[in-house]
Amino acid sequence: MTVGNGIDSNTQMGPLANHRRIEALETLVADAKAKGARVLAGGERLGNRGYFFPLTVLADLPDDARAMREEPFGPLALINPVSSIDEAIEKANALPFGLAAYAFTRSARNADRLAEGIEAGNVSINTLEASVAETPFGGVKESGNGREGGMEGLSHYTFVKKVSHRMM
Amino acid sequence: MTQDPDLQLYIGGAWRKAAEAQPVLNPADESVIGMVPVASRSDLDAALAAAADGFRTWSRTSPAKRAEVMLRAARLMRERIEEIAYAITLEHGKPIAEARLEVIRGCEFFEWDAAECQRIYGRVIPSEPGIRYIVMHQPIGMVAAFSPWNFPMSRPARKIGGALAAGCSIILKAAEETPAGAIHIARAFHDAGLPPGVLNLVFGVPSEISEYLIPRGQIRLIAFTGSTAVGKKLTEMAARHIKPVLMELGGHAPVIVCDDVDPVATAITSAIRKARNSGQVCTSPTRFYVQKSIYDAF
Repeated sequence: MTVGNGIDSNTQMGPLANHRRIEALETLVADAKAKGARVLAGGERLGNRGYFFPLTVLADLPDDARAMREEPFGPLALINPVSSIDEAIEKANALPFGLAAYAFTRSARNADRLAEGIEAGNVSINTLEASVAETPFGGVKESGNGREGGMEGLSHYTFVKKVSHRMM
Repeated sequence: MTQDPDLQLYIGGAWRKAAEAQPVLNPADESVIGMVPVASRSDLDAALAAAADGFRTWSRTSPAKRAEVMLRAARLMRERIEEIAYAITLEHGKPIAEARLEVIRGCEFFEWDAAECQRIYGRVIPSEPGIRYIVMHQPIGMVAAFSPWNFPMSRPARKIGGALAAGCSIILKAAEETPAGAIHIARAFHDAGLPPGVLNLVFGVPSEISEYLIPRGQIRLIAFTGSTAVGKKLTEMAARHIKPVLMELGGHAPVIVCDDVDPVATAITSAIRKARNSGQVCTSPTRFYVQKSIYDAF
């Protein structure tokens, strides 16, 4: 993964947008490592000019690792094993967030269970695309309320007025 | 070299500078690429007055005409894609190919909302003779909206598109760290003939602006995309005045990988998507739960 200046057409991933992201990611990685996670890729800032951070992959994190509970908002992927789909759904739903969720399976039965069981406003199966203009987008739980786009999207910007007119 | 467009506030159909300004940085080299204006109390009062005028005009503008203006603005933004994408990359850092996709996505939001605005159907409810029950959908009024730095053009587009399609006026506070996308949107709407006051764009101290605008009587909806922490504060403020909110907040997206898929292909797809926007997306795939039999391969 080529990390560099976004103006350069060879760059695959640009810098983080501000310094706060660097500090947040460093904190989450350090905490995960201290709690026993493996670092499979990345983990440290690149250089000291510009907010460059590599694609970082951690594995085997305990549930109480901060990265598993606080939104990283950076190039951080966290990988854990599960025995069953039920266990995966339970872990997926364990946080107060519920914006996007993804699943990969060829089985229609699995896909149906996952779509039904996951607590999120947007479930994507076999694709990592979460929203396009014509579909309603938004969260449940602490990821927010309301939907943008789709048929539902304009409802927040209007109100219902019911008029009862008795004709004389 | 400063490439950012001239950064000003857009209030009542006119650009204006503020008394104070703060630097905008290029995250690739930490250089200053522009100065974004900091709105004062009187700028906000001007925006409120302008949005009130704008709402009076725009709420009486036919859906077809509203759609025409929105589509014209979207067409202008598509024509200006290179200039807008370049400005986004300079201030945000994302690869320029991603910035171009973001501009297209923002235009698609405007185009979708322009079509939906002509289909805000109400209904007539069956009743006994002599009385008519009608359900109408009217624009809610002036909207106070707040957009984040991670998608500096398409996130403002989502808010502006919804408000304008419905016949509302809007005061948008866009992200001070990445102002160019919102500025380009305002320019395109100005050039497309949007009546003055319908779209107003401010920047400044976020908490000051939200604390001032949210309680104002004419603001009827608060729309926010950003962190859950800030969303909670804005929702509390809105709740004190019984004002509805539209909140698009944080996420921590799980990715469940079942053992009936190719683990290597899925992992590669995931890595590519993770890198998008350097992972700074509320929907970024983050918590991967992989079934044991394919875990090591993944």
